[in-house]
Amino acid sequence: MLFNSEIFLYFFLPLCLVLFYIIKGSRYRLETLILSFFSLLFYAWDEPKWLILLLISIVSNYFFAHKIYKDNRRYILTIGIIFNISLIAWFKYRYFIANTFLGSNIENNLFIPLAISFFTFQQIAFLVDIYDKSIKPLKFLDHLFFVSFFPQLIAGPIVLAKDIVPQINKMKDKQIINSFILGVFVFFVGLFKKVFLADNLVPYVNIGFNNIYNALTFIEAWSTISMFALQLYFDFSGYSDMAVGLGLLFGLRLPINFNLPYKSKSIIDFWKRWHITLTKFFTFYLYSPLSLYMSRVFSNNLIFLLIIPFLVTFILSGLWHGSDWKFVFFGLVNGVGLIVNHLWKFYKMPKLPYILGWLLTMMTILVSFVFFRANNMEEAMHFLSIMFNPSIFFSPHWLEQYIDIKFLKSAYIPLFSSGVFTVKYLVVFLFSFTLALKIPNVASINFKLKYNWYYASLLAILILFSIINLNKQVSFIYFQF
Amino acid sequence: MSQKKQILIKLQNIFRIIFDDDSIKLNSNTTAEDIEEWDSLNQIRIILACEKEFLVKLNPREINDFVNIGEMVEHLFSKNVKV
Repeated sequence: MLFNSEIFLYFFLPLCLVLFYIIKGSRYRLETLILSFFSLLFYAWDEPKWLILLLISIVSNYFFAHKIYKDNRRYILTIGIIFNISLIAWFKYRYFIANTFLGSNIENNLFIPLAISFFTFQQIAFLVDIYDKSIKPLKFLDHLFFVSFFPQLIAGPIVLAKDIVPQINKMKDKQIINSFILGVFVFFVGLFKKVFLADNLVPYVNIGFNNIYNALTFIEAWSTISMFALQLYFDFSGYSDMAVGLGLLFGLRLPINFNLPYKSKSIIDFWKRWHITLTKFFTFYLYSPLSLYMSRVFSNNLIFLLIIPFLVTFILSGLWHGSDWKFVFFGLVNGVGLIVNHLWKFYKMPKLPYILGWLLTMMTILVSFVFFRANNMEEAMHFLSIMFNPSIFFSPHWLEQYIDIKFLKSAYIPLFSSGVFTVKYLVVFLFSFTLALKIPNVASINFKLKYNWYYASLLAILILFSIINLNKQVSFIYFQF
Repeated sequence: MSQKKQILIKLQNIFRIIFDDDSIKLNSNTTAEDIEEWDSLNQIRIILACEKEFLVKLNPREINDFVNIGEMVEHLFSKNVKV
């Protein structure tokens, strides 16, 4: 079920809220039960068969958690992690592994169980935290709720038990009227980002990617991938805002996933602002232990401290997105960018002016997004060959009527075929880009909603524009992971 | 001088070396937000330097959970480190 579907907005969510608040007002402590029931229904709505897999994962990890806590043996943790990795390896990566390591030639068209990357990683982190004794195992119903809570189940944010469990216990008695109103606002900001901004950018991105082999030029390639960067941001940050907003409707504060990433002055800065919960997961549970282990065992130098752990981390985080080499390269470009950035800082090279740092960051990100968006490696490489071939820089042919630029070659450019369409394209881009920089991070705990006419009118506009655009119901990009 | 104070001073020296900044002054309320250069790489360098200085083994995830330097001092103190 999609957050931007009519069935969710007009039936599922209102019914869930009504029942939740009836239970909350009663003397029975059944809030987690009712929310877990609705969450499983939400998960099973489109593809009921994967519900079994989700439940197997939840029940197994529940037992692993108790066993790890009771015996405190590292080998049980290892078995638990291997179980989770095996589950995801089989259901998401088996063809990729067979093709890459066993020389098979199977078409990689697996139908991946919804949300498997999210609930698997969330529970791996949970088992490690249990082993560290930073949290205790949960009662079954709380464990079920922690993993399946529908706002975060399908595409994150990846929630750590230590952040959410203390809130579950307070859910019954908490006064949540302020949280509810804020939740409505945050949800509609997210819905607006998704259905009004992201979905309306899709045609501009598709026209470029559908014409990769059809005389795409330098300027079109950069424009297309820049538009995609905006689409991806509004799509995923919109989804994440909706998740935080929905959590607030039930009095729960989920972690934020984005913090104005396109303002980043460096690639290190970017990864502190983009998909924050995934970055934290990989930093806490992979990079830090790997870097420490290698530095302790081998040598405390930059090869073991920085370069190898970062490459491993980013290749795996790239693969987390999908079982394809293009995602390996998506991770690799970002990993190399981060290593260069860290080395630059480590050797105390001169600080770059903001605009130069920003440009280099955006160029790196855009190159990595080519791998993210292209349908396969061949397409990605061809697209990049256009982006880095200034000899095919042509100005649109119609521009000659207005300005005479001697040194520029003109050509018919499909993406900018007429002046009117070009102006429309530019307006859409500048409008979206400005909003990407200016829409405040409403999901952040630092955002304070004021009860005044300004915010009331803004909410009304957001609701209006979102509802008008609801009819498309385009799926979220991150649902495929 | 109390043992916690001594731990704090040693931590401050570690931070000054790692961030190459003699003006760093740590107190219990200092957080990662207060030191701009504090990133994932420097976090590991801090842990390694602490392990060497205090002769303890630290878990990076525990360090990540600390809200401020005060909690780090308490953690080292609880491990009976030699100062």
